[in-house]
Amino acid sequence: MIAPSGLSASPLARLLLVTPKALLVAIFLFAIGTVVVGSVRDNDGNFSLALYDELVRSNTIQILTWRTVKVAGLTTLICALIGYPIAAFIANARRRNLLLVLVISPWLTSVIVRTFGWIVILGNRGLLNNLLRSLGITDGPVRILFTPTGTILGLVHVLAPFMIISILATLVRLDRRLAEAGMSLGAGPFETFLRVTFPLSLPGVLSGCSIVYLLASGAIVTPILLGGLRDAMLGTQIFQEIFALYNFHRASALAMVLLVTSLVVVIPIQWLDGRLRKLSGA
Amino acid sequence: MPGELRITGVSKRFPGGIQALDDVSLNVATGEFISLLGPSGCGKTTLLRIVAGFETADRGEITLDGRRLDKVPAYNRPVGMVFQNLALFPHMSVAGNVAFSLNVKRRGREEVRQRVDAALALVNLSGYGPRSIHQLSGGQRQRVALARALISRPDMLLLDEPLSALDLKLRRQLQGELKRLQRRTETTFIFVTHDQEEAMAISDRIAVFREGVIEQVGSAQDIYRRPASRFVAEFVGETNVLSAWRNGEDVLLPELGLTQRAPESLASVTGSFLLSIRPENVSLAAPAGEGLSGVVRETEFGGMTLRAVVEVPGLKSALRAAMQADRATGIEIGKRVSVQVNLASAAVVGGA
Repeated sequence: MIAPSGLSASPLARLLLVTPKALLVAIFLFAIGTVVVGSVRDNDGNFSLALYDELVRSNTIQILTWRTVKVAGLTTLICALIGYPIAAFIANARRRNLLLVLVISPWLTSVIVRTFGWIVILGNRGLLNNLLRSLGITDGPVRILFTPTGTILGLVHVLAPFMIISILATLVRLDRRLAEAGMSLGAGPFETFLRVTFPLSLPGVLSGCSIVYLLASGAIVTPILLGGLRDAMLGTQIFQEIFALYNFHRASALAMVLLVTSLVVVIPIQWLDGRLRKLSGA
Repeated sequence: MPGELRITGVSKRFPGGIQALDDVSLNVATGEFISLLGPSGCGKTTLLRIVAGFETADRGEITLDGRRLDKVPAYNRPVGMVFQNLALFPHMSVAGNVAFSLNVKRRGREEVRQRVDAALALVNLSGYGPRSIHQLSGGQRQRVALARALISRPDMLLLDEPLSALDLKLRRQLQGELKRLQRRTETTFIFVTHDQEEAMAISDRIAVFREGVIEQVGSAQDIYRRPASRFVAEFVGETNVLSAWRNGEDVLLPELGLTQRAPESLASVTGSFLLSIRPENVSLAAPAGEGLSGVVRETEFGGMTLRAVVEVPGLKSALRAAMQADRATGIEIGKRVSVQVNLASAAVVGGA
């Protein structure tokens, strides 16, 4: 908790500030604790590592985990690749706020509506396939819907704004004079970007990657509707275990797998992000 | 030696209608140290940024050694720049910053190392190469910025108030170093500042700016002794501006009720006009005798000199005087003293 500087918080004020935080932490820990405990019980409520034993042996779980990492990773990569130029454009544009509204416009429609929009476009008789066929580029329909490609497309659409805003935040804060200094030292616009602007905006890219990866790896609605049930991911599988199969213990164990794989990816990114921010004095 | 800059008729208006520069012309000789002096918003920084290539002039022409600079992009101009906030690259070491322009030109590793060492030695920072920018003091950062800008031997160095963030003592020290560095590298320096003392201390010539126009260009002594306008007289150093008129052989100062024989310097002046009289040409003596007298309202002891503000009946603003401190016996607050004005070095700063 940060007390406003210049005010020395009285013990009472401090207590008032600490209480809500303590409450949040307690609820959070309770929830995680329940999942951890639930994952090491069998259906009779006795301690058992049988689920983990199954997870380690099971081929499907490994495929599921790998697919989740792949889809989330690709989503993150694509978000970064298309998000950076957009953020750079907005950072230098005059009507920055208007463009920002356009960027977050995907969030203004509900997940379901947005996703059905993609079904209309990507389906076998959808807009895209009709167009490809009428142009004579393909004979039969190109299968995008109900494949990981469909999932990735949908996820990029929802999650790219997080990446753009995160990168934009660092670009806007960057001192314009740094780029000018690069120019005055003989570096052209592209070289100045490579040597000065890009390295200094990396913390924003990394933060964006963390957010997008976490949200993509835990996504449920988009993978179910666009990826289909056949190519399940960890998130959709957990959803199935709870709402279709009522197997809460298995869901808990899968949640642990999701948690651990996410941490394995995100912790190094966060560490690097912290290092870079310290280095650039931000 | 290259580095001769000609600025001819440059104008710049910013969107929003602010006329930053209005038909400015200025010639800078090779190896000269010139200061652009003026209050904030007078256009001096805009002119510097136009020379650097970060802004484009609406009208006018800029040539360096006879070549047009206007169409050359900033990164191809043989011009170095030290920014107000220095703009050191925070993600690079001292050596990385200094080596930047050489690395851009893809110089060999050995050459880069040698030239970085030489550049750091030039600014007395030998051995600081591996350090991080964040570990340096304000003065050290200053020198890194200088080394970075000078390493590729530009024809001209532009400095945008680089010393303004430093404390007075360090500023004085760095002013001296800048001047020595400029002589040693024989590079043309264009130095933007709003501090008239700083400008007088370090430059060969000063261009005084006011609202997008150059009011006067000249050496510090020229500008101090023969200010071209009331603005210049009041902006550069302290002064008293008094209205005066010519009456035959005499000059009348009606506000003081004084009539004096016109000195040679004012021989050709006629009608009514404004005079700038520097404090050192106003002498005080205690106790008050006959003639003009006033009451001392403020004194300021400065070691060698004593400055005093004297209230004289009939004069709206008080009169400023300065004298050698050891001759200032009896000049104390509240005392009545006699006042004498020496018109020999007074300057005409416009018609009344």
